[in-house]
Amino acid sequence: MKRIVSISSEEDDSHAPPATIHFADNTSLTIPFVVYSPYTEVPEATLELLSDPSLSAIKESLNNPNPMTSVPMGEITATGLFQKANVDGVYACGNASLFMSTVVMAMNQGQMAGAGADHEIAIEDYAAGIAAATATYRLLILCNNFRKMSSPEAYTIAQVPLVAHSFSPDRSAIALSTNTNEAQIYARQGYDWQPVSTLAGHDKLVTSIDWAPTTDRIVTCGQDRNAYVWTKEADPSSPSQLIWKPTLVVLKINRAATQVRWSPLENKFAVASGARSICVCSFDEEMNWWASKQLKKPIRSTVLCVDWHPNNVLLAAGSADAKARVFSTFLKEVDKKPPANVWGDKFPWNTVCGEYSSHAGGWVHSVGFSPSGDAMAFTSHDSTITIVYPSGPAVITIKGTTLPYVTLTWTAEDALIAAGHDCQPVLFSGTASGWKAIGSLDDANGPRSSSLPSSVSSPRTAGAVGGGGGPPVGRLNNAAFNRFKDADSRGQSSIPGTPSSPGGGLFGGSATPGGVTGGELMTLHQNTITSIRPYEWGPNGNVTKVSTTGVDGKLVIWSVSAAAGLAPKIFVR
Amino acid sequence: MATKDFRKINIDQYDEDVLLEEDLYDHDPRDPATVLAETKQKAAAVRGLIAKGDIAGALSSVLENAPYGPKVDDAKILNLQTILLLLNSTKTADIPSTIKALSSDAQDTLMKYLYKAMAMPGYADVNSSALLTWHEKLTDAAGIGCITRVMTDRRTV
Repeated sequence: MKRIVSISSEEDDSHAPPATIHFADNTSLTIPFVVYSPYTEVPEATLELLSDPSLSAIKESLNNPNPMTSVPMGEITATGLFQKANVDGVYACGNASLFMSTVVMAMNQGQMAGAGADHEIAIEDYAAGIAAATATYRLLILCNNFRKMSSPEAYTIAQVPLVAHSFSPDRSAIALSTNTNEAQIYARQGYDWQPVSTLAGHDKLVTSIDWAPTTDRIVTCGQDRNAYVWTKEADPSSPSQLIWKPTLVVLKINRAATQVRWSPLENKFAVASGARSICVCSFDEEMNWWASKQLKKPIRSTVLCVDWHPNNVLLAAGSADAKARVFSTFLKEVDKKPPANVWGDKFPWNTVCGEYSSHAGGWVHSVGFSPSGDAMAFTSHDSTITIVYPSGPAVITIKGTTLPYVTLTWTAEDALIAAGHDCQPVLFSGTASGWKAIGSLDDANGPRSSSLPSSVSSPRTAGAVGGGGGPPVGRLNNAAFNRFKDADSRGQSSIPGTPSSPGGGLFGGSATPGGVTGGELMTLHQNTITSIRPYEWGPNGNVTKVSTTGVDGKLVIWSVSAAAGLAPKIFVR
Repeated sequence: MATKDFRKINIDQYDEDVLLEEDLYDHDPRDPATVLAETKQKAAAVRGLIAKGDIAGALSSVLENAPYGPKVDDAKILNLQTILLLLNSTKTADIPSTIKALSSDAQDTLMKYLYKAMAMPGYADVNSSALLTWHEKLTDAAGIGCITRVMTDRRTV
């Protein structure tokens, strides 16, 4: 315990982080962020530096709060700016001699906001008061863990394109396809990721990876027309060590496998392939391998993407014949008869429950069911996103003003995030009556350029009137465009070296334009985002964080609420 | 040196389940004669609209249900001529407002015609400078997405 004399900030009186705490014994401590509150019961000021700087530790400490320091969450939900969904917890409050009762909240891990009983007291007022007051205070300090709420966590994993990624159930490790025939597992070590194991088995490029959240098994598929299921087993040579052991999958396809996804119950997985088919695989105990059954009709071209309906039977698939379809994958050996839903009432094997064309003939890059499974969205190479409500029936097309999106994930029943060649994830929101772009997750820090799609969508049949309403967003002035313009007008080229990759990379060349000055994109990702996946869920089941990997070799974890307009600007005076 | 003739073999003829280009888009339900008649009708109506100064209205009507697909080459050329006439008779200052008045589908179709015309230098009314101006203004309004849709859409005009 140390007595606190004052708290100061480098930025004059703004109390923006980092802040310096000055103690009575003439020592000081600079911290990236502080939360403090009047704490009238303790005679001495206390400084608590939590050894575990995670939110859970703080929440733990709040589970036994001083009666005077707790305020029910309900009281702060009405403020509008601080909606309950955005608030992780009430950290402290109280009535110091000089203040009114005040609440400090943490917004989505890291970002702090102050709100008084009158919902007006800002965190700056707090600090000023503390500096002047003689009352004692309790401090909760968030170290290391500090990020501005809207700031994404970015890691450069490798100088090669990342084709696919999937996190371990506890998010401490990530399986990556680093554009080679071997999948890599990286483990989080501090603020960094280090390779810990290699999944070697494929002869050609690993195209997709999926890590089952419950059974902790990894499935990979590759251009060598194979898939493997990897399970953790004791190493025969040193039993204390765990190694990943592959189990054979009998696919029987004559073209590359393009994407693989576990079903929700993790007793099946689907492999999309260039053989105009989808392999639905289940485990054959007798043979000790994964056997497959193929969905072929009426697919006319390479299947590029699959996604499971929560009922474990329906499967959405998008293909290069510019169609997204919903199939039944009912296997009587493994599945129970699913109840009727918006897609139909009977689901024998290979029933086509829906077939939808992309708006302007673009091949379908990515499909996804909404969390309930009652809607499906797909992105296609014609820069559009199509959302299908079979119960409507309504088919809504969002016409993008940017380059095509190649990957998408739903974050809530009425929201999804898409990313792709535009190098930034964009949040879209809407219902069966219409969808629109909310904003880029990569837009939080102002100066970054962004070319948001603004075209307002409406059901396709209505003859959408879009593009005219918003600002002139489609200008040829986005970062990617400027890069090529520089190459043209100033001779700044970014022709990277081409490290060879066994099996031939999906994306030629190195990930970043090494040594190129002025060629940097204004977005965090410096090249196409290849994969976006949910990373963290909030208490209401909505996705609060998503992870992306890209051709630039970067892994980025984004806060969904960072989309422009959703993030309250706390430190802007 | 090995023979290269094998590279010229049309391997699709050996594939009984070959995917043809025309399988990839929805065909125009109208028959070619109807399409041509409608296009002629529109071309005539457009002259009236130009006289009234309603360029945006004229452009919308020509871009709506524009002929696409096989067997309608006459109608395609006629519609292109009508559109070129409209594009060339619009004052530069009026271009942004004209584009703004179009539906987003019409904007996509207009972009198709711009690229078609640019691919035919020296053809009758093709004025590259005017086309580039239109292209710039249309991209301002509809974005790069509009251009990608021209590239992916097999319903060529």
